[in-house]
Amino acid sequence: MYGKNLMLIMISIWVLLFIVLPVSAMLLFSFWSIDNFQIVHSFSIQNYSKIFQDPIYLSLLWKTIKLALIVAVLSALISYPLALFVNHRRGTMKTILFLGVLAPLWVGYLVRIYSWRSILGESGFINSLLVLTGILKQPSSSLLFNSSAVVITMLCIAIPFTFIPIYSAIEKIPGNLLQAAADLGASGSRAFWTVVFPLSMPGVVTGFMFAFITSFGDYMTPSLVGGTSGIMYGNMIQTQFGNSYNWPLGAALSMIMLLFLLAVIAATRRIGNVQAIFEE
Amino acid sequence: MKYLKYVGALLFAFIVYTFLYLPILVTILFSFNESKVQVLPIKKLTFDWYRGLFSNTELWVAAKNSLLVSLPATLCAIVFGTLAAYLFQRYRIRGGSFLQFLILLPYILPGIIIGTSLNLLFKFLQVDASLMTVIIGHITFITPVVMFLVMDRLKRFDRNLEFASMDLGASPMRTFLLITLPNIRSAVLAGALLGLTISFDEVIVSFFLIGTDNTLPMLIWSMIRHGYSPQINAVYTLIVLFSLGLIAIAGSRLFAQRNSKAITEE
Repeated sequence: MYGKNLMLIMISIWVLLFIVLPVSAMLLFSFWSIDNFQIVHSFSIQNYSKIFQDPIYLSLLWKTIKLALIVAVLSALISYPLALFVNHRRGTMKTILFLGVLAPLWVGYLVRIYSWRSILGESGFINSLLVLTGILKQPSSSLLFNSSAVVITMLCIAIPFTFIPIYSAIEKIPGNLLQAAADLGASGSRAFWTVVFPLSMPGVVTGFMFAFITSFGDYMTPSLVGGTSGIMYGNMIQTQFGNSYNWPLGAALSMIMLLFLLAVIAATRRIGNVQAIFEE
Repeated sequence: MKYLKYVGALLFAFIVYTFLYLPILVTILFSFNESKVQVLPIKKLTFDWYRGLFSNTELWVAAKNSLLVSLPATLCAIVFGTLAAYLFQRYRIRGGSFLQFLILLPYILPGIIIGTSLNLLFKFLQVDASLMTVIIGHITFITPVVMFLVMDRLKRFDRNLEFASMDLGASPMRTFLLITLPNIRSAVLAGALLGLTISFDEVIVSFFLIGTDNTLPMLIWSMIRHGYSPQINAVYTLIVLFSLGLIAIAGSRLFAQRNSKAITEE
């Protein structure tokens, strides 16, 4: 019992230091304000009232929600059949294909965004390919620096996040359930829609949530491939900590993001299973 | 009909994998391109960009800084992650699932929230940004990775071995070191390799916590903002190959143990 309490204390300290204190500091700063480049250390809700009254912030928030939703929907639509495909393979091939989707999760986040910029750019890979094959006469500048470039790049980042929970949900479905469905005369597609699909739903919800959250909070993708029209909510936070030096406003913006995403997690946790991502 | 379906599935998978790996492939391809612009067709291949890396001291310093961040952060995360996994898996704790959720948060939430909140905490405490503050930021998101990999392994590990050890008079600590740890070793190792890879690649949290010393991704971020350089492709080709190697080792570790276990169970 002594060991248990010691461990519990250490873990509690971890949570306090790495979660509770930083969020508390953020909350505190969000109620301060800035005057003449100096932080005013007195309680005020002026940051929040500014955010909820100035249409700039709310419209950007709404736009970010829409973009993240588009990415999450596309990501789920692509990841689901991909998970079915990988799950149908056998042996080493299955392992390789599975790890093949996972690996980009942890490799070269920054370079992949950067690479999409040069792939989509006016003198980039796709344009030179199109000109070379004669499909285009002139390289097009409409591929880069807009919201669709942001969606394409984020999708490339989000698919592995969505794939893992969907795959693990599908993989866990016992084979004898499908056998039973077939024995009872269900066709392949009927068995899929009545057995596989409902059982995989928690994975889909979790995967959807992951894609939504990662895209929602991303600011490097929009600042590298988004141009001025592709700016997102995260860029606004980044600006407060960079050029604007308005930390209290940045804290309030970040706090709103945190609360919004916690609500998203709470809503999806009822149906999805967050922990499934770490179980094969 | 069935044949058509199969070809369709193959084609679909091929397109998705190409989409996922296109940016990495393009990076590797153009790291050997002599021209300073990234245009097809490639006229001449060269190793110049790689050769240039050796003389770029800024890059080497940044790479060293990255290791100075990743290694201690991963080490701390292994200790805390394994501890947390053991605690949550072996004991019933009131509010345990909530604690677990809090530890998982930095992995689920976007880096910008972890980055800004820690940044503000350090401002509040008047701690100057340095590699130390970056290490703390990295611990937050590596720990949950280790925790869940180890928890998953503990779940499938036969607890009777632990009971037997304690029945024979070994202390809980001795039991953990001699019985539990060797059995979860590969999960801990996989967590460490993954943690290292993630940390070495991380840029969003670091962005808010970095002082005057750059980590490698931070240096590349500032290089990117100044324009295109084929040298970035060369650096990243090396990083990607290195990371993929680590992931392959971590993956084979996890799968090897899993498969051998499946065999003994049968």
